[in-house]
Amino acid sequence: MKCKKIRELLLTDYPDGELKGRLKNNVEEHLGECLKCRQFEHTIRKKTIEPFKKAISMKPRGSVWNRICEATVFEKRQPSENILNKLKDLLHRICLRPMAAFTLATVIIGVLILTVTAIKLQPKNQKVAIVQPKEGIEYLTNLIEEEEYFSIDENDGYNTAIEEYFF
Amino acid sequence: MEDISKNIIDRAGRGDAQAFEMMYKATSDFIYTIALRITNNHDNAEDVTQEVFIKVYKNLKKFRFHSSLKTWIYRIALNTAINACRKESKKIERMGENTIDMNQYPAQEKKIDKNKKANEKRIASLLKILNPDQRACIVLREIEGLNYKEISEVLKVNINTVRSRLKRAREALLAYNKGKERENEM
Ligand SMILES: [Zn+2]
Repeated sequence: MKCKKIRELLLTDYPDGELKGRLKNNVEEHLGECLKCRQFEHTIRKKTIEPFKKAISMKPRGSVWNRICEATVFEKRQPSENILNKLKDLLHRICLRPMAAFTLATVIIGVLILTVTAIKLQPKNQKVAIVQPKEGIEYLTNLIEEEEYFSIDENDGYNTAIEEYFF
Repeated sequence: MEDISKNIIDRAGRGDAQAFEMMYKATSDFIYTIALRITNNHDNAEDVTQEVFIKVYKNLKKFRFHSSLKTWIYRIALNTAINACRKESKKIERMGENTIDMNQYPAQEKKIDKNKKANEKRIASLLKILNPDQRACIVLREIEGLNYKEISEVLKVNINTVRSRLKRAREALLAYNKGKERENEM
């Protein structure tokens, strides 16, 4: 076999263990006789094969799994019609976003404070009691608008779910 | 890649979050490492890993065990990584600057010892001179240890295409080494 044909095999099938039987024997016989091809074979091993053999395995950062969870929860959420499922998904998503969780907490605390103030003031001062609910509603509307502002997704309609659940 | 039982694949396919997490734990290092070899960029490799798992999540229901899970995941990972690579090189062409991240592996940089780190740098510099298709063949052959038939199944090309890509890749690596040696002589 000519050196040229041998070198084709030295670049691919021979080092990759794809050569069997007579063809493999031919190559090995030739390598025993031809110094140039032997050197060529040595260079291929040293320069193009061995460097890859000590490759190590790497780890992605933990944030990748969080991103996958967020994306797949979002996928699951789309077909769910049950309001409880929606709320569960919403709370899960809110917990992943500190800003949204903070806004939700602010809304809940605001509602509690307003309710307590309204109850306390009602029997003592009739005048304040008349004004209070209106102000309360304005305050709530502002807070809900703020919630909408901070919410990242536009297509969620979560506020309705919150209102139905909490009020 | 660690083996995953048929039971776990079935459960994950039916939307069982715990089974899906087990699949992630068994395959994420492997997918991320392949993505890193192909893209040569830490952030892109993480994006590829994320994209691969979302694809696996969406398509697992349709997985029918005609091919092995490993072949299927290899295919998704390599196609996603090669696409990311092509997008990146278009971006580089457009921006006229090199955005490839030379400071690789920040997630575990401190844990890798000096020799291994040097070898990883060498691997990255060798892979960098190849085109994405050649890179995929070299990674599957040299690092993952797949034979020609397995590589052709993963990449859905015929065995002769695998052979010629490996041949061109090795010729390119030899030429690169010759160039380096000449540089050192001067
Ligand atoms: Zn010869």
